[in-house]
Amino acid sequence: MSSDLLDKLIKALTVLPGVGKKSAQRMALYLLDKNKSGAREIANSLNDALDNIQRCKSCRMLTTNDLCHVCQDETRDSLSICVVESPSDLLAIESTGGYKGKYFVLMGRLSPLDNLGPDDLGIPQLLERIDKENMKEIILALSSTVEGDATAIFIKDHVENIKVSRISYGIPIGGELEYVDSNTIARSIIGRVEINDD
Amino acid sequence: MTELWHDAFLLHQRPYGNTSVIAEMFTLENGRISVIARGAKKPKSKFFGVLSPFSKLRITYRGRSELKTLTNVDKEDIFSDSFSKLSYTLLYINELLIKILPQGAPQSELFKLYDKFLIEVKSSEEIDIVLRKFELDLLEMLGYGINFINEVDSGQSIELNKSYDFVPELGFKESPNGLFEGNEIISISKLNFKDINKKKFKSLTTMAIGYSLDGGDLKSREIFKTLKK
Ligand SMILES: [Zn+2]
Repeated sequence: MSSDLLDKLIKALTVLPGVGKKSAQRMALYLLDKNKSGAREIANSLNDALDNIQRCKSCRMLTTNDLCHVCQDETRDSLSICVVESPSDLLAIESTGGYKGKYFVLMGRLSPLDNLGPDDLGIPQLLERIDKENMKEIILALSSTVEGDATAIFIKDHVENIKVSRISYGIPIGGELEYVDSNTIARSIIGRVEINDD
Repeated sequence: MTELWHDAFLLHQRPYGNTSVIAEMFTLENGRISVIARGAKKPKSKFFGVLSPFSKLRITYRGRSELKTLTNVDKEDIFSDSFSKLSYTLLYINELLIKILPQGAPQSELFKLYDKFLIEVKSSEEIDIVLRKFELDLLEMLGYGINFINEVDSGQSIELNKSYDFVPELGFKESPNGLFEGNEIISISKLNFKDINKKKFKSLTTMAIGYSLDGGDLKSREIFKTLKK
């Protein structure tokens, strides 16, 4: 085996979160030496996923179909929409099992210095969907950062005749949802507070 | 060698790799600097949850290259547990500072001005006025101060009953249908902002800041203007 190929694989594995050079080396040797079929499986599923996973046309979540399974599920409450910053935030809320409405994934938050405006976050698409589907409640599950707050206010300012609440209870300052355990999120969803006009 | 502690504010941070962040800091002694905070996104890191904007920080860092390495952070106070209606203003101010402050040039007066601004804006009923005052002082400190006393062509004093246009690189120019009335200009020069039309006042500082940024635009203006009903 060419050691160039081995080096290339080790380097490729270090793109994974939390994987440094040492663990990448251990993984590469394990896959090639001890578990070739597992390695083949990883390679194939990765290729499949890369070729077939796209953004859901309705909520921007990652999915293999035009619509993700949440958007397709007719038993869910279609009058309530939960707005999150990232796919992992959506998964965190789903894992609590406490929320039965729909979602919208912004893939970020309003941030002038990162050049991220409303269009980049699909906010016009979100507003159109809320209007078209006559939704009755928006839950803003956004981080407790200045950008998260600006995003929440921006969305709140652009809708009318709908209840807008914000999850902030129990989420630490500067914390991102993925760092919070599911019990905390579940409690936050139940204890969500409506944002009032002032 | 012992490391020096510096008063600092975090202006912005962006992820670097999986667990680190690169932070733009505004320090009292050394102005704007970039630091890397290694491992800051790990919940067990000493930087986790402490790197927050608008709170006064005490930091130590080392390194000779342009990108320094953050070694310690202490949070002196907590700005607020919610930014809510201040969030647009705060994002705007930090974008403005990052775009207008040269890197590595000490700006201790401006640091104190920013510190004062954050304290005032938190408790003020009139966020716009606090913001306009900050903008005028900032322009003054960076050498773009507006002359509210004399007309640009004649050099004569601004008169109560005449009207003027504002020309960013020059100042106020007499004009029969000018946007600004003499009495308004005189009021601003006396820091009397009560009767000033808020929109006009904002357009004045917007023009002056646009000029100081060499026509460069601020993304926050664009973002918070769009879709507005
Ligand atoms: Zn979907």
